[in-house]
Amino acid sequence: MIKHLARGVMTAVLVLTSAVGLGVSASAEEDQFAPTRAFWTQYGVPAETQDALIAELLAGGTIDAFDQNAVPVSSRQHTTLEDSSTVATFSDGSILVTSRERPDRRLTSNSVTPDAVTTYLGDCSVTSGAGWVSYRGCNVEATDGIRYIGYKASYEKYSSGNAQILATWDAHVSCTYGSMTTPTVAYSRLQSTSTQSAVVKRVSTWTGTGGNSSETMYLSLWVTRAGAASVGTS
Amino acid sequence: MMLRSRGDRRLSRWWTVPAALALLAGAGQPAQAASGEVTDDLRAQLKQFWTVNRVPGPTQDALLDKLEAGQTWDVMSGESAPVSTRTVRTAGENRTIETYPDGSIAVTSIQMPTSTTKPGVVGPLAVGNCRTSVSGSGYTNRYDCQANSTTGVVEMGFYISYSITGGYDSIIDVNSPYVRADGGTASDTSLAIRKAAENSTGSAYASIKTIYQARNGGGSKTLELRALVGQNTAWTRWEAGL
Repeated sequence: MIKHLARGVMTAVLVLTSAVGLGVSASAEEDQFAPTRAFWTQYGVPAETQDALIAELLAGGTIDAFDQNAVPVSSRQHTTLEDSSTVATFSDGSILVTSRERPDRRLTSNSVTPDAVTTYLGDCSVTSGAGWVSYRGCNVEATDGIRYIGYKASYEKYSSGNAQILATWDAHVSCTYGSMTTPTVAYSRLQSTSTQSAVVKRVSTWTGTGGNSSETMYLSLWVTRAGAASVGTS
Repeated sequence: MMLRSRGDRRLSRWWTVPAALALLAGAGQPAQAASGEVTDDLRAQLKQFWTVNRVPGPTQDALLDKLEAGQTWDVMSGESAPVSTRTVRTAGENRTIETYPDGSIAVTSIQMPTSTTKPGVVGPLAVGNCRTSVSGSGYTNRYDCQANSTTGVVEMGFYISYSITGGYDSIIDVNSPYVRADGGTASDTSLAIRKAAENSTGSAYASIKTIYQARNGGGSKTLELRALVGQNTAWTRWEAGL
C-alpha cells in the first residue's frame, strides 16, 4: 500500500519537475498538473489553493509540504476500507499524506503520524504453533516520496528464546530523480540476544542527476527478543 | 513525528534531507543547476548550519563565495589545522566543533548511552540505539552508538559498539557507514576499525573515509571521521586530505 502512496507523490513530483523544468506552455502545464490536482482534490485541497501552489512552483518557489522543517497547521484522518491515512495541512495549503494499513492489519505498534517519510511492514503470511509464530514474506518498505526502497522478509518469534530473522529477498528501489543502486545486505544479526535485537539492514546509494548530490540510504528490519518488529532507516 | 525527531539522528538521516525541496527548486532553475552554481537551497542549508554553530555572517558569505568559485574550504582541504576546537558534552552526545583558518567548520559527534526505553514502548527508537549493557565483571559495553560529522556539504558517520573497562578500552564492532553529499558526490566510502584496542601508545579508533568530488571543481578530497575510544570514554575527530 505504501507503493500506492509513493506512486501518487512521485507522480506529482515528477509532473511538477517536468512541467517546471521544461518550461512548457500554459495549456500543457495544466495537462501535466492534472494528476497533481487530482491528488489534491482527492484530499480536499480547494481549487484556489491548488492554483496558488502551482503558481508558486512555476515561479521557482517551494511548497511547505516538501519542507522538512515545516509544521502542519492541522491534521485529520482519512479512512477508507483498506487504508487509514493522515492528511497534514500546512500554512500554504499544501498537504502531506501518510498512509498505513488499517490498524487491525498492522503488525507493528508504530503510531500513524504525519511525516515526510512513510515506512511500512506488513502483508505477512502468519502461521503459529506451540510457542512460536512465523511471519513469512512480509513487505518491508520506506519512501520519502522521491525515493523508494523495499524488500521481503521472514522472521519468527518464540515464547522462550530469541527471535530470528530467517531471510530477506526481492530488494527493489525506484526514484523519480537520479539513480539508485540495487540494495545489498549491509549488516545482519539474524538472531536477537539478551541485549540486542535481530536486525537486517539493506543499503542503496542514491546519486542525483548531474552529480549534484549523493546519499546512502538504509532500510532496516528490527526484531526484538520478544518478537516486536519495526522498520528503521539507519 | 517520530522520523523528524531531532533527538535521534539515527532515523533522521536520509529522509530528512530536503531532497524534494532541492529537486523542485532545481527543476525551477535548470540553468542554475546546469552551470554548477550553488543552488538557493544549498545556500540556505549552509547558512542555517553555520548560524547554528556560531559562524559569523561575513564569514558565511566569504565561504559561499569560495564555494561558488570552485575553491576548497580549509576544513576539507587537508592543508590546514584547526585554529580552535570547542567541545560540548550533553546527556546525549559528545560534540566537537573544529574551526579552520577560513572560518569553515567540522562538527563531529558521538552518541552517548541514554536511559533504557520505557516499558511497553516498541518502535525503532527502542532497539539498539546506543544501549548500555553492564556486566558484573567490571566492564560496560555500549552498542550501536552513532558517530556523525558534517561540514555543511558532506555529512557522514557510522555506528560503533565498544567496551569500557577498568584497563584498556576496546572497539567491538562498527557498522552502517553512511554519507550524504551536497554540491557534489561522495564515493569509495570505507569503514574500518583501524586500531581495535587502546594501549600504552594511545586510544583505539575506527573511521569512515570517503572521497568527495565537488560538482563545480576543486578536485577530489579524502575526508575522514574518526571515533576514538579510550580512558573510559569516546570522542570524535575530523581529518581531511590524508
